[in-house]
Amino acid sequence: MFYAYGMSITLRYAESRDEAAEILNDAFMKVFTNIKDFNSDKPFKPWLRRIIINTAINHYHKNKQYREMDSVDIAEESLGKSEKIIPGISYEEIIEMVQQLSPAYRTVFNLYVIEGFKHREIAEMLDIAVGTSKSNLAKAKKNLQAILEKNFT
Amino acid sequence: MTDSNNQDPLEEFFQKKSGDYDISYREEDWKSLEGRLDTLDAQFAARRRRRLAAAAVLAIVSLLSYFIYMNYQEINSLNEQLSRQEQQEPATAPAPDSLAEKTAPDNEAQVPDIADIEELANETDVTGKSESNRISETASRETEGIASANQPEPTPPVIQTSARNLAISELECKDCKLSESASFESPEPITQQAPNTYSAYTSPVTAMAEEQNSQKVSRPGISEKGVSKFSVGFVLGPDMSTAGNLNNFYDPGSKIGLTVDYKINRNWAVSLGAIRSKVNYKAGSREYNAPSAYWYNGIEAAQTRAQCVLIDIPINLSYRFLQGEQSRLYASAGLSSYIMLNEDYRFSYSNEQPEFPQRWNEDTGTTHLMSNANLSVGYEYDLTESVSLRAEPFFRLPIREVGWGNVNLYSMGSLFSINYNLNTY
Repeated sequence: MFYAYGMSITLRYAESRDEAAEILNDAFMKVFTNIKDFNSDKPFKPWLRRIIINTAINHYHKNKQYREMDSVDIAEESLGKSEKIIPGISYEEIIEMVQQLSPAYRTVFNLYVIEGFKHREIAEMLDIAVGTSKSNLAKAKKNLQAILEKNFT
Repeated sequence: MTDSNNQDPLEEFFQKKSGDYDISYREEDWKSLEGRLDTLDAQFAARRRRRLAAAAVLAIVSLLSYFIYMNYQEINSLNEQLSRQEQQEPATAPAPDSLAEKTAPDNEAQVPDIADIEELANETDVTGKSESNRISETASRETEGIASANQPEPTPPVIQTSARNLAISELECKDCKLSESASFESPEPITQQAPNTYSAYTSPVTAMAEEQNSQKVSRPGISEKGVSKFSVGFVLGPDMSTAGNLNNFYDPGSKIGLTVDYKINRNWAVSLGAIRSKVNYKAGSREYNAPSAYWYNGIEAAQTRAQCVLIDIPINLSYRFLQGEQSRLYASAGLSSYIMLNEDYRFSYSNEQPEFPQRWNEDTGTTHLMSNANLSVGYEYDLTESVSLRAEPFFRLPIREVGWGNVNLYSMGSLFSINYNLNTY
């Protein structure tokens, strides 16, 4: 039940399915060891989600020194907001596209677009400047648009 | 965490799509993760064992260094005493004859001051006169009047005792059990009844010589009277093994067991041992040759991690090529037979499939006679005549394949042992 839910989160933060499984494994370990801190009056899923996201961010920090922070931009020019998004894209294809982003872009994109964090919160979590967070988000979106245009138009 | 960030169609699109997940459970994800976590654990364990092994080696080396240093200090001290004695030896040479003729003072006779004796001893170098003579003359002069005035009872002469001690020290005979004879012949009543007399008439030279003599006899390892033919040893040490090639060591094992040595002569010895060994190694598909029927569809494991427990029975011939007074260096060569007690193999594949065998574990008990050649060099240090410590780095080369996986097993490591000499001749 929670496997698919957990993997749906970790796959977006990881570069591969192996890494996603590793993050999810670590997250479940944290859940098991900290289950006593869970308030049973509140819903479980948001608590689990927060643990998984924190674990993914920890992995991002741990592997940051081994990764190149800024990947080469895929898109040379930005697409306009009015560009039509093709609806027939599967979830797996979405994940593949997100995984093509560099770790820094991918993490900011996930935290802002999917999880709904503010740039100030993201900057604190990732230990970066707010401006960097905004910049990374813009570049992530630009790259995703380029990927979409290349593969689905 | 809010969901109100998205004003952009792209953002809305991705947010919407991320909720449409349909992810099925895949067993291979967790098998793959298990393998990676095991490897990580093995790396941590190997690192911890390497540190422990290094600490053990450091401790043993420190211990050996301490004993060597103490030995060196002792030798230096003895050499100093010897040189001082040699400087004064001409003065003490005629002592026994002259002393024997002298009349000893009575035990209760008033003895000369120790300061006088020391003064006399100091004058020896200047005058060149025998110290013992001077002492005996002084003693005679001191006691003449007393002896004539009191009873001339010929009690055992104290000076003779001191003279005897001096002669013993001069003999330098290790095999004569001089300390024993000296203590045996010394008339007990004299030393007990008149300790002051004894000490007063024992010159500094004599006392020093006596001390040196007692040190020489009692010092471990110097006496050659107890050369053992057989010795038993308790051995312990790390083992690094690999299969097929020498650049694939990964997880240290251990060795613990007993050895028996037989000394053929001063330089040559043979040894036999029974050493329980935990052997860990990693082998690729080329090095690991399990029965081909075992593999699913003939697809062999890309990598095998082995943890085997075996009895290593080495027979070695060793030659002592550097002999010290209390220590020696030696080289050994021989053959080892392996009895496999337990074999545990874990397999990983380049393309994992659920049908592929993951592990093979069995108490096999197979014997592989003379399967490995042994080469080693060692250092032995005598703690006492009976007990010694050894450090012996070794290298084992495969002669034939061993185990269920038929691997050519290379091993290297170091055996540290404490040895006890069983008997003497």
